[in-house]
Amino acid sequence: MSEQIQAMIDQPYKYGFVTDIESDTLPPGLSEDTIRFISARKEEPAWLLEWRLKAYRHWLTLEEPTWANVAYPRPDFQSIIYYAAPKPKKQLQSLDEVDPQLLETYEKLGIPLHEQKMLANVAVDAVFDSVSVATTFKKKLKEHGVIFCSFSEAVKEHPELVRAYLGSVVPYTDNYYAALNSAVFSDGSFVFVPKGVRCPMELSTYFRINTKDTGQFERTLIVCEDGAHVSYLEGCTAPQFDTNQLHAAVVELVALERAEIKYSTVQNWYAGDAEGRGGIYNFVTKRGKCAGFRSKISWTQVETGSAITWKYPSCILQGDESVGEFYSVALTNNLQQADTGTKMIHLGKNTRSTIVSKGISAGRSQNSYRGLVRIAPSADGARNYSQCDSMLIGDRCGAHTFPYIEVQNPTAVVEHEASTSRVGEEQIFYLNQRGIDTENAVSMIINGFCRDVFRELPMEFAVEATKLLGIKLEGSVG
Amino acid sequence: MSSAAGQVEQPLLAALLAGAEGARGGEPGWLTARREAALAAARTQGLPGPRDEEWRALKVRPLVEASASLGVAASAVDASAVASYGIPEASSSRIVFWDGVYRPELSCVDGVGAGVRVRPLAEALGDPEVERHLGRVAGTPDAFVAASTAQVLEGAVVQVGRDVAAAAPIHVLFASSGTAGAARLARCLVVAGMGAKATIIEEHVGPSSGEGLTVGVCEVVAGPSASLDVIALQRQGAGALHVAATAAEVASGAQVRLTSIALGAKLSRHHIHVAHTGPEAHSELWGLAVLGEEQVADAHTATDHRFPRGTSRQVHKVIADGRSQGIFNGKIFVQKDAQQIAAEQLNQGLLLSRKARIHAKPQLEIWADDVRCTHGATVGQLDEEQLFYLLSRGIDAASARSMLTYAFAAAVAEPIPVASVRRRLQDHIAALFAVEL
Repeated sequence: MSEQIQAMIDQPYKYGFVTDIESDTLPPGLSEDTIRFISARKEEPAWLLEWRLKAYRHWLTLEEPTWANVAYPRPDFQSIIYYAAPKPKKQLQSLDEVDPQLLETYEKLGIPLHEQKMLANVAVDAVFDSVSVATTFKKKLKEHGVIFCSFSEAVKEHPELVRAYLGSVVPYTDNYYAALNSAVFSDGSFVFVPKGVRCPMELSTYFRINTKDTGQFERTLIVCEDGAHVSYLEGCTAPQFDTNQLHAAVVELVALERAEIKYSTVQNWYAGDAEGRGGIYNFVTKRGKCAGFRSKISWTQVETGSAITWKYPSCILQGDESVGEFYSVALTNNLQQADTGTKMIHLGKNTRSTIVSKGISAGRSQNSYRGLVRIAPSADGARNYSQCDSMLIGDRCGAHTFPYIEVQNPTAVVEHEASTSRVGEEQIFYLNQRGIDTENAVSMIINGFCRDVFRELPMEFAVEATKLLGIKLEGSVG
Repeated sequence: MSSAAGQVEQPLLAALLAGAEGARGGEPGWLTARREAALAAARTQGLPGPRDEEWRALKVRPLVEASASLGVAASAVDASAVASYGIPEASSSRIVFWDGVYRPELSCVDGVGAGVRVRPLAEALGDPEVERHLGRVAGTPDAFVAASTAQVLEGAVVQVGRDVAAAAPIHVLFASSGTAGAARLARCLVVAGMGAKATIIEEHVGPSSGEGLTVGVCEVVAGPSASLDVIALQRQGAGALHVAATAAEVASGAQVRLTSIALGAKLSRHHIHVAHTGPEAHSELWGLAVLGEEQVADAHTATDHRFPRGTSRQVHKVIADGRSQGIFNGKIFVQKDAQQIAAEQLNQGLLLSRKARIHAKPQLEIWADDVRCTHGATVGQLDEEQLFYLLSRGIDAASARSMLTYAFAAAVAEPIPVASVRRRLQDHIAALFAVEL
């Protein structure tokens, strides 16, 4: 069984792409001309082109960072294709045409039939018309004044908003991959929730139908005005394939006074085969700014895919009494490597942050938690609680924790706890004794281990994530 | 480490390595070879730079750009100062160095007991144990340690024979004149045979206004089932720079407790590396830094579990007042085949003023699965309720703060098996609040 799933995960995406007419695809390589071409194709205003070029020129002065606890061959930035017009996928007529193994995985994940069709790129039938649903959703959002569109659309229709907030949290000078992303970003999502509005539904890229293929340099910007609230879901539990190996996305969140942003990610990109060949490099810069009084940003992530995950969703707690949260489950198997964690920068008074990180390493994988809690001199009464636990499955994997704690204010209270252990034989024995086989027992124990994080996920994600961990670990125990 | 060597002139490094080349008259061949290897390592590494991860939180500039040289003439021995540094429990088991130079007239080792040898390095160079361990245990983790080995000439050698328990705590005293611009090397090698037991106090001390740079290296080898208590006490003067490294090897069934106390110096750094070289080894690291004014103290520790069924425990406390900065980096490694390891680490910081800072980086690196490793780190201030409780019982504010601060430090101070050392710590903390405890 597990071999079959592994085989399914290992295979390349085989529902062929339609080749584009030549003029719509740039040859590989990166130069100022590439950036001008991208900007022109997207009909961007001059200021944005200028910004991209500044980012590119800055990027040229940077060196690729090497401090993370991950090893991989350096990407060749000149062999990447930086612009290709959206590639429509070939639509299948019914689920019968879909690979049965893929369907089996969906079944295990408990993905509803209509979603299965959408994921497998089957033309959606009358039973559940996602297009119309999406349209209904869009209408409802519009009534509330919520802007939810692709980044390119936002640049055209709301340039003043984009210009005001783009790069305000992650400037193009931030780091190597953020600079690269700022220069060549393809598309992404834009969300704007106006003052006092509570977004009537959870937003997900899933319903943003016109931008299915956002490419490898995705850019997301979410802005919540005073008192606004939004919950945003990124990714999905189903395995995702992509021909681009390097993914360098940037996500910026801005929460003004009393605003609240909840950002949930489930990441299950192709992780490479059992020998570590192929697989996505997921180098992401995610950061939120709690700019206003009592604002709140909450990151929840379930990271199970990618050959290499290298990301630290962070919160800058600028407003007094603002709150930052980070809940993470990172699972690595085979030869996967993950170096992930968070940064909580406390600047405002009485700011609070909570970090709960659960790392699970299996096979020959390496899983690192790296986090920073910084209490600035101005952050009177700041409070942080961090907990990072690691679990090891098998004796050839590694679990590492690198928490950095910097406190410059005596009224702050910072607590950090970490533990590393394995799935207890006694726990397994206890469950076996009650008629639960070892695989299910381990799955139960792992889910118990991750419960504090799953509780933070939106309902349907939580159910799928639980099953996802089970699938990812199949065959690694016993 | 740093790649600064070769690109930038490092006058301090040049000063620390001056005259280390070539064989010295009368020294055994193995020592020449070892010194030359260390010299080469020091030159390759260069002094640490500000971007060196191992030295990151510390502002290394005042250290690496200090001008200090080994050539500064030693000033006259201040015998009354040395007498005041004495530990009553070790009155006849102490070996004294003044500005890095062995002083037989101040030393007395009559009371160490049979089977224990405490000698200056020069008298022990023919000993095969010294040949086996000197410079090897510490290795060359950075240019300071490498420079110490490249220059090694003076030092204390403490050997405890098989199944021998030392009769008294052994005091290895490195007293300094505090001369500005002087660099001093302090070197110590402790070798405990199978089943041996001893308590060693390695103390670095100078006059309260003392300056200059001290580079200390202490190597500890605990044989199978040996039990060692090593207390490194740093009480350098207010203008002093102090860079020390302790490296310990803990053999099968042995127990080693290392206590590092940092009270003095403008800038101090203690790098501690403990390696378990056999199964069922047990090590403990206890650390305490009490800082005020502009002091900076950096403790970098690593416990390396290389064999199965070992245990380790660590408690590190930092008390930071004034504009001081306390840095802690504690690593626990569990290597691939080191199964059934239990390792605990606790790091606590107490901030007593608005300008004080604490940097903590507890770190676990685990490659084995059957382990139980935990670490905890907290940073906070004195509890208002506890203060109020003491005030309500008629205790004045300064005494109450002093009591609570000592209570915070007590977890590290109280287990020290030498009463007068404990008393000295208590007095030091009480003096911070200008009260008598």
